[in-house]
Amino acid sequence: MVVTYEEFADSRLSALLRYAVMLTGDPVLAEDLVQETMLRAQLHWWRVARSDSPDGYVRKILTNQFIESRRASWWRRVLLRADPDPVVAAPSDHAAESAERDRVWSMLAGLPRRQRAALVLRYYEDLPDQEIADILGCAVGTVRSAISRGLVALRAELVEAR
Amino acid sequence: MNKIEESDGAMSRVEEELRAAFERQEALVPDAAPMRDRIDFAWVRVKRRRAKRRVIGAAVAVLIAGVAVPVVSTSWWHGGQPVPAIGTADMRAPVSGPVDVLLLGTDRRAGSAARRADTIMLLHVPADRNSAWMISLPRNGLVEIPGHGRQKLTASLALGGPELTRATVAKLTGVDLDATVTVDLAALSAVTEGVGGVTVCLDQAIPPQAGRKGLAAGCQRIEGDDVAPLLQGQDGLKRFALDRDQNNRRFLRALATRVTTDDSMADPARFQQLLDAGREGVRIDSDAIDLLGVVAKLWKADLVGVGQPTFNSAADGEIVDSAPWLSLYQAIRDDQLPSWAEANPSFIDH
Repeated sequence: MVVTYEEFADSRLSALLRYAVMLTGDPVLAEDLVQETMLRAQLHWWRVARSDSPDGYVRKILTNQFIESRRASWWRRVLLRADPDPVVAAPSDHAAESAERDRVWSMLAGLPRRQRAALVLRYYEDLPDQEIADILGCAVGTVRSAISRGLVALRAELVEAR
Repeated sequence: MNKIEESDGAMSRVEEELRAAFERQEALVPDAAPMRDRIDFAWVRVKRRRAKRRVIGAAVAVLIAGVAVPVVSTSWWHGGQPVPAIGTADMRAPVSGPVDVLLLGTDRRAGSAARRADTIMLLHVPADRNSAWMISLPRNGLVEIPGHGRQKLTASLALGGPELTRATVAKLTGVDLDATVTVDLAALSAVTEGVGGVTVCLDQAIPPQAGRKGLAAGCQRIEGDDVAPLLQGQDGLKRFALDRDQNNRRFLRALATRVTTDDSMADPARFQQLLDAGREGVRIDSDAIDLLGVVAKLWKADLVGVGQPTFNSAADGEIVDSAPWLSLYQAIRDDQLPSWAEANPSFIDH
């Protein structure tokens, strides 16, 4: 039974939104990304539906758009504005802890987008290397090295920040 | 603690922090329901815009095997290799399975903004790619046009453009259409000119009418000027529109044969000439890159014409939703045309 666009949107839209938020770090950008992705998927729905994994196919479209978007500088600018908001950082017992977590997030925003996508797919979506490689359109080895380089970069910044 | 363990510990700490950061970020995820409406709304706009935009860049290519209508936008035609447009690289999954294309032949009549569909065909390419089927749908066939009630199929083009004709045919047949190709009569004429004419054999003469010249019976050379009389003439033919549909299929087959057997087509300059000839009058609503991939495999395919053999008329049009037609639609959906053709030989061109 071939899945229709409507069925797909009903069941998968919120998962795609979550994924897009993790990639972009911004709900508004995430909505734009998801909208563009779903329009493309709909344009070529017959092909999406006939693929082995419609979900993987759509995720691939979304990821490619995120990585290849020509608005790189714009994305980056928005992502890098992730300095902790003074209003949010209200003093509390957990202030120090939450400041550190915000730091994790802004460091993540500074990574190359492909590395960041690999980290999201591994540590948020919990996908195995092979599926991550399918989505990113690269070899499994490339996925592993992207993840480990991403972790090394994050660790270096965390250590430095302390 | 040795150095490696220390490093592993630091890594898993980073991993934990990452997971925690993602989890915390979930609070920002927007609600899906309004998003769904927003996408549906944008989709309506995309469809409208696309209908206009497609007219542009497509240059005709090759009416290969009649199926094809072809076409390459020069913007991505470089050294014989299609170059995908930026941002569509991820969509180039190879096409497998049957392909169904709706082919509309139209005429922009002088002094009339409204276009009518002169020819409506379903081009079916089976999954095995060994054959290609051109199935004429009677333009006077009575069908349910979405939003406009029961009318002649040809009216759908004037009422809502190729999109509406596509929706109408999809509803009638239940076939999942992969593309709609709209070809202008002038473009066919120019392409015919571009390939230096085609040879068509007619079993009856086409009388002159409405300022168009006539054509004699028998095999003859069809030049650019002869295309309109050949494709549009129906008054005076034994079976009127049915014979005209058959002449349309004959012409496409002849053009396909010409294009696929003429060695000069391998000449890039000649090919470019052909592209230029059709540029204005062909429009494809689909992914032209993939159509081209399908077309390339059809170079040697067997081309089969299918059309209604005799009238089956109601008071105001043709019946196209009764017995043989319904089983034909089923056969297209199931990709089982050869066995249907065997059971209904009178529908098949010889």
